[in-house]
Amino acid sequence: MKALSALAGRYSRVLLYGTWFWALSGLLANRRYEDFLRPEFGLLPAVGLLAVLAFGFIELGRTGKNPRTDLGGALRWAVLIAPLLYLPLTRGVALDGAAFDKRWTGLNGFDRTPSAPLIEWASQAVSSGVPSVTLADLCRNAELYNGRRIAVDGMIKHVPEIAAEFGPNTCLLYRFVISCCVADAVPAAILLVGKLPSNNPDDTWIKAEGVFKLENRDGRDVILLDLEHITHVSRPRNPYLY
Amino acid sequence: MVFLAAPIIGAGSAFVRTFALVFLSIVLEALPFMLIGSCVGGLIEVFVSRERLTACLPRRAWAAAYVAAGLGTVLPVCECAVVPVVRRLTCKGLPLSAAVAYLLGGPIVNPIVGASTLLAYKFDWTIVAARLGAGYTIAVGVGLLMGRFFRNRPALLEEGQAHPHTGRGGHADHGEHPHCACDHDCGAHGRRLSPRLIAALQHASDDFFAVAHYLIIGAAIAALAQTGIERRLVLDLAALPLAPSLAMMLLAILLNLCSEADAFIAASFRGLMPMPAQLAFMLIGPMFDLKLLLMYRSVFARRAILALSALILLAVGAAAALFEFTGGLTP
Repeated sequence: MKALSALAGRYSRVLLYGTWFWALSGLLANRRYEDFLRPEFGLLPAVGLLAVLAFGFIELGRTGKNPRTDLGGALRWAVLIAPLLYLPLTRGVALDGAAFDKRWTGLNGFDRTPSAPLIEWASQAVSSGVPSVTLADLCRNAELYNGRRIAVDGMIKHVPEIAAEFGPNTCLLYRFVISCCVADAVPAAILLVGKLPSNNPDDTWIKAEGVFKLENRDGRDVILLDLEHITHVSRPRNPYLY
Repeated sequence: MVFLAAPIIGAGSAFVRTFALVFLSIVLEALPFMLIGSCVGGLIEVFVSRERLTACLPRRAWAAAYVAAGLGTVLPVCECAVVPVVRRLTCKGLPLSAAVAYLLGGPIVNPIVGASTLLAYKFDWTIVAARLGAGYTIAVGVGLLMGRFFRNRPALLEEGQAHPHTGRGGHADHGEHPHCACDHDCGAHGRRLSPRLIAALQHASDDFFAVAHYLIIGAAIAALAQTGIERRLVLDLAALPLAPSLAMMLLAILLNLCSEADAFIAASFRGLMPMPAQLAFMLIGPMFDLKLLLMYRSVFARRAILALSALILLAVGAAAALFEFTGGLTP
């Protein structure tokens, strides 16, 4: 028992840093960090990787008395390793309707201040000739797109209060917009007006085509798409907008 | 135990998957900053003597607090990185008032936060000035009050509590402070660079091991709050008089966002919340949230944390009320 305790004392931190090194390497190699952070933030796990590598070597070469291995120390170690236990659960997972329910604050909940750069209108043309725009751009630059025929990707969400306010043939089309990481993701949503086929449950990815409108209803702006056509699409590799 | 078992028990649950996404995103964003902060703390421990630190700061504690609150402009750190740095600075004899001023001011009064706020608010300089100015003022004020309240009472953790489980050597230190225990053969005392760098990294590793679990537990609590609480409920609270600022402060405490990103979230509440409430959100987050509350336990004694928390809440609430009643920041 004493030998085990001494071994744990000697190598527990090396094991901790080694495990984190392995996890961060995997996140960086497969660009899986983009499941959690915006793509430009790859530097963060890279810095973490270098630091845990250095700490691991330092701990491996450390001389002197080994640390105590009491219950508190073991719990602390377990807490530090815990995030890695959650890593497998997130493979292929992105924020969806469950997160939408908690984060959506209404149709005007997304910051609608226009932001540069605006979409290059001509370069966004798709094969059908309908310009494709993102939900974030639609929300931010609603005036620019008002009255235009556009195509936009997103997930469907049926919200009872939306149906109650705008009628049964309405639902939301949404995607999450990230500033830095998934924790700060905010849904960008527009109202879809028009009858959807019945095989479109919540969180189905679609490309919706129609005429985009910025309307004033009861004194507040409502951004909506008059649906003309929808196509089922697969979830993009990176489902988030920035 | 539930926290450790949840990935196995609740693997199929949408709640656990969303929790895992949010939890890991907070950890992956914050942990590198904490590692950097630990390294900076280790370098301070080995390369900055008490005499040098004292020489760099004004002799009077109040004047040191004024300087320390603005140190973020030259040593920009976010709230996760600042905690291990402050631990080491207090070991070097930094007065409590200055330590608190840097702890609170560093993550707000710095160029990165200024730039992100500027970007989030579409180059509205008044918002940036209000955030940095109020952040600096609160940091100095709370720092000075903490220094006064705890003039004759210990506010920092006692020896053995601040560095539990480092256990690598005796209590003899570099002649700086009893909290900073390390071996005399740790290599920090010679003149050669490489042993000193190794010693700095050893201190950094010790610091990381002593603080990081607070960050992870805080991130888990924050992720739980984000996964379980509807933001609309918090916004509904804002319908009460004087409540928008309090609601936004509550939201910031629950969300645990990085100070370099929170301006974008605050800006998303334009049109929903008055500007003073958005400012309250941006002021309270870098000073006091769930993970910081836990991380402060690695530096301060319990009653000091209570006093610090109360002062921060009061100061930010007062600043928001001031802006609200004077009509400042009206768009």
